[in-house]
Amino acid sequence: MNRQVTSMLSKLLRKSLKFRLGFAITLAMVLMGIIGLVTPPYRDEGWGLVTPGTLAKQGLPPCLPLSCPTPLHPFGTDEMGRDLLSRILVGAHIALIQVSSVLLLSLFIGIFLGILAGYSNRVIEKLLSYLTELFMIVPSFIVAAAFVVIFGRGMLTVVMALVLTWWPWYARTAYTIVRGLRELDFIVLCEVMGGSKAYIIFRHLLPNTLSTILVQAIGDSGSIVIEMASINFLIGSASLQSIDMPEWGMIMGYGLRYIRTFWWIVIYPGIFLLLLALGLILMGDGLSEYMSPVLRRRWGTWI
Amino acid sequence: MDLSNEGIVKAKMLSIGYETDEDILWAVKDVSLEVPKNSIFCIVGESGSGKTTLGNAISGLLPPYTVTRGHLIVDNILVVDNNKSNFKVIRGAVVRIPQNPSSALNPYLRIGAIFEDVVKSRTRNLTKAELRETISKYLSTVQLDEEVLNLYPYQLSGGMAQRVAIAMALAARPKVIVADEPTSNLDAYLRSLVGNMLRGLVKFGITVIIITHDIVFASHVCNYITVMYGGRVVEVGGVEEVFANPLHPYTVGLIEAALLKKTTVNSTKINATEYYGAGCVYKHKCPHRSEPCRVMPPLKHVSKTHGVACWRVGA
Amino acid sequence: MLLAYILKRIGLSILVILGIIALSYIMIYIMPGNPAYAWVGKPKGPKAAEAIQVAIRELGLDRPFHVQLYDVTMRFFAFNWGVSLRFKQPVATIAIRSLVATLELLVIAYILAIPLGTLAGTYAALYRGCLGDKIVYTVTSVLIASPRFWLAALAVMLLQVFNVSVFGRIGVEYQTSINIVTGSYIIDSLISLRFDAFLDALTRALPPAILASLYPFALITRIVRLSLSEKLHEEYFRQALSYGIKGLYVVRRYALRSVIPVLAQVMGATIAYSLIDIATIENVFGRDGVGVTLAKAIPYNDYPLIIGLLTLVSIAFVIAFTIADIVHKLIDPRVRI
Repeated sequence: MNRQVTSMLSKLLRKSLKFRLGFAITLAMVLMGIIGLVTPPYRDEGWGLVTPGTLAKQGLPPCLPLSCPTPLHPFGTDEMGRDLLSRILVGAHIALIQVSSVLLLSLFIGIFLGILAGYSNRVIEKLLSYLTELFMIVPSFIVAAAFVVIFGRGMLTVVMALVLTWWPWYARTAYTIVRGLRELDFIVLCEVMGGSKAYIIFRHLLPNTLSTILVQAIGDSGSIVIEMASINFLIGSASLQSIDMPEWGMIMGYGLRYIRTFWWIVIYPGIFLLLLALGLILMGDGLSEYMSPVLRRRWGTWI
Repeated sequence: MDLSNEGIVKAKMLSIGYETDEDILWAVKDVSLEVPKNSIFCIVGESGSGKTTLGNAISGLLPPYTVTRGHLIVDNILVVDNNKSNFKVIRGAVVRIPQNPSSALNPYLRIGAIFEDVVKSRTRNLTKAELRETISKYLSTVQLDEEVLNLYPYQLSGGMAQRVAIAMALAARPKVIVADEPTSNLDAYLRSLVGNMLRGLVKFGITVIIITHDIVFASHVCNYITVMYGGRVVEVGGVEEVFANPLHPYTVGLIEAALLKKTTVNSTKINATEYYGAGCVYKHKCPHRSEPCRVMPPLKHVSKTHGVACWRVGA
Repeated sequence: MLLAYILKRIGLSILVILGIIALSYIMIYIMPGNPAYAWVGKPKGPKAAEAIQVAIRELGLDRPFHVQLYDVTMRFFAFNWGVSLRFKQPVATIAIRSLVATLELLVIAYILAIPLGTLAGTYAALYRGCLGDKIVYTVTSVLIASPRFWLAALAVMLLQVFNVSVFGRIGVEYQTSINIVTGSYIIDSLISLRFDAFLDALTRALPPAILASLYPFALITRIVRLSLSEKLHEEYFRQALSYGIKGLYVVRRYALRSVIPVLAQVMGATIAYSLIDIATIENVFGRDGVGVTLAKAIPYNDYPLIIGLLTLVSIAFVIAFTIADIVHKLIDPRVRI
């Protein structure tokens, strides 16, 4: 399995420009995240600590293409005086962890329920279909707001809200695939020969669904990043006190009220948000183009 | 039947290929032929012989990702000029009847609507009555009722769809009709019906090119026959002379197989590299394979119309 | 046949709506500690205990479970959704008003996005692999990857340089001269025949609407580009070309027709995602729609309002998707077998 993955990866990197670009950008972001976790320039400030020393340097402007007023703080400082670059670096690793959590959890729940729905009796199938449809309809950002009221503002809250609204998509895909596979001869043969349900699921159904769903998931990751940031933006803009945890969306949301003065608090994290999402989207596109060779040919026009 | 040398379709060393990741895959290699006006011209070969690609090229329906070499002239218009191609101009002058007519009709429209589109594209400013009249006329030539106009394509049977396709092809008033495997999906009765219909098309001044793997059908319907194998032309000629005296081993094999005679073809394993390698395209199966076959023989004519690409024939 | 399908679909939708109401109800219950506590906004102090008691009776927490569920459903359809803690007004009123404001942006955004997206996608599909297509792809990728609220912030900064008044939904000077009928200033100003107000409301709505249309535009372009490319290789498309029917006409009548069902299917998810965008863009532009209302509710722990918005928006989605689904089935004759 591992060898397959690495060979596919190297092929993708070699052949697809999109994938190469996306991979490079995402890798850069991961690197930023690692730096943010391990050694950001102003570590305490990065994580939100405010000391009298920081308060002394509130609102220092950042380096623009032409001028650099405070070389010590290349991205300036925020409204409390904390170094924005460090905040962004720490925020990078938070963003990555959040996205991965959402993906992993919703994939787990979604695939599990999807396979279950596709391979069980009619009652469970109908029930799970109903639940899937229900949770697909619920708007994630309002659920997130409700969770914030209930559970307070932590890293997990928004993640949970997003997991709740994303699992149905994977469940539906898994369900469709399993339904399709179920009729195929090799599954029927397995059942006849006495294979237990669990065995069939893990040995046959799961591998087939995983490959398709993973491609879908990577394609979704860009949207999840933006969705997460948007929800955090709303929460941040509503917040009455300054944000500790340097989640990009929240920094930007809280910073909105300073848009006329300390505009860099909103603008700079957004650039990196864009880069992360772009990297993920390009990777996803490169991957799905690789998967369906028809898309790879060079075309022209019939007309 | 016009025997003048002005063929309405002329191919000169035409090659058509598809680009893949590494290389170009040539479906048609150095094909030269000439289709006389008002004749019924058959291109016969098995799957993979390139006949469908050639037919698509003549009808102007090659996908945009194909590569071309050589020349193709249709109705005195240069359609393929080495790597430049302009298929747009001949559409409508050359109409294709598809292999699977049910899937070749827009599933979201009724037959009547599609038919109107076809007629309107050739003649402007028809009143509604004239339109309906014209369509009925074409329907009657294929013995179909007007009721069919209200149906959706998925509601037609194979035979009905085939006839609708022929009627629409007539309505486009083309100079050439290319029929792609017109009998593959039909039963014997419909096969003879379609055969007769295609034969009758020449009355309208239309040249008919039939692409088929059914050499028996070709023998009953066509005037001229071209045998293709592996993307190349291996034999051409009038249908009587080719059947009376098949010169290429592949043609011999085809006829024997069709007539269910014991074959003289050597059924050795196909060696893939030999198949695509240089040399005669048939050499891996040919019972008469020998030294000169390392080079692909050119097409040599033994009579005015009968030609063959084999080292064993001609001087 | 079709009627049976429509009835079945509507039946399912009603079930889903009931499920949403039940879900909202459950959400009141999963709160750690006393649900009534959160319902009244987590009060502290001497009057807290009293407030909690009132909430318990109001929520009916002292009654058996099935009775509660019945009560909640009845109350919902009577539009008795509680009172907002922050605004001190009925939740239903605020929620509906917010939804209308958001819909203003949504409708304008999609009116822009759908035709433009289809055009761009068609162009990209027809000239696939050429420079135009590559440009279209790059632009759409960047648009999808950009945080729309960030673009909104940039836009606001830009517009302020030009001293354009973009905040809010209508200038203060016009507010009194319009009769509120629908809640949408754009429509109401037309009804009140105040064209100056109409123009003002429209111009304030355009920049946020254009920003809100960026994501659906990019997505629709991509989908059209992808599915049209496939359709362009369908047999019936090539056959129509063979008959001599003009190229662009064939594209429109044959290929694009079959793209509509694909679009309709995806539109549901797109709108759901757009809603988040709109909520944040509203925030930046100071328009009081669902996003701003939600943002104001959070710091006050205004749980009734949040749940009310949740229910309302979910049900709006259900209705919209059901209609879209029915329309989809009407268009596609193949499904009518």
